[in-house]
Amino acid sequence: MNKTTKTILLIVLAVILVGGGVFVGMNWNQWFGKEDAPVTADLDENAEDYTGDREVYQGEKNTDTIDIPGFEALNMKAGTTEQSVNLYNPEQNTCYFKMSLILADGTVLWESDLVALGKAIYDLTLTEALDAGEYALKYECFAMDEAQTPLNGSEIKLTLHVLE
Amino acid sequence: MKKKIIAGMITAVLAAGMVMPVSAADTTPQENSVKVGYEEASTFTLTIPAAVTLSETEGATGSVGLSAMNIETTEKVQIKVTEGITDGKVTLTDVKDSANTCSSTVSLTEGGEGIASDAVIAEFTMDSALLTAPLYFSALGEVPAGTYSGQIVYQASIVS
Repeated sequence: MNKTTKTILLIVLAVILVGGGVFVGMNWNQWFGKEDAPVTADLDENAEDYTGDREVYQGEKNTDTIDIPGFEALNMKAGTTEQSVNLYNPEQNTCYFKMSLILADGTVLWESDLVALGKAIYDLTLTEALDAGEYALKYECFAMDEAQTPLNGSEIKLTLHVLE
Repeated sequence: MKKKIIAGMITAVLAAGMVMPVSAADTTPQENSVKVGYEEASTFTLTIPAAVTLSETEGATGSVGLSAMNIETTEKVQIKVTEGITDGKVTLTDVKDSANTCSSTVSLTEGGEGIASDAVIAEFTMDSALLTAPLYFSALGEVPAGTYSGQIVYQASIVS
């Protein structure tokens, strides 16, 4: 074997050794890596699939006060009396709400029936389509007794954005 | 000579094989702008007394305020009384005889002047340390027998 052939063979061998080394190094962990240690603690039999928070005890309700949700503005759709809203009676209250949307001149555009605590009105029908402007959202509150005794009430003065 | 030629050719082949075509990434800094925005509406929860039980001989207290508030730093929540108080007094009517009435002065300080109609009785900002305002109801004085009631309507609004 002449010198040239030997040189070529050495070079080829070197390339094979380097390539082989790189290949082994890249796959080392996969071939010889440690397996995950098995779980040794016991699983809690009371555990269930998590499906979101559930109601938990929050203490006794305060019957002396009424919480009234307030907004700076409400968005409504132009040209229609059918509207989507988020008007609700907070869960922590101990009274019924009767809500109404009122123009500045006192015209009632919409009025609800009694809304129990924890309940909401999401869809309503106005008596007429709206112009943008200032309105009042009135909350009349009634005790949850047979007489439905009227309690103190509230008005939230808000801006109505009427959107196309 | 022949060997030198072969050696030279092999060297050239090896050298050519070692020249890997490389496509370098364009490292010139690129600038693109994306507008990012979010709007959080101002909201609050007004807390009013459900009812205040008055007395013939002693004054009573209630309070109005906010139990939650998330408004812009340039805004404030104003609370007024819009119904139920006239000339600084709340009038209670006998539920069985509307001719029977009694009244109590409602003020912001104990023994103070009655609240004026449409006056701001409380105002809160995001910096407010306290989110309640007391209301003082004067004693009714002597009242004929009966069950009396009256309602007060509080108005809240966000103003800049």
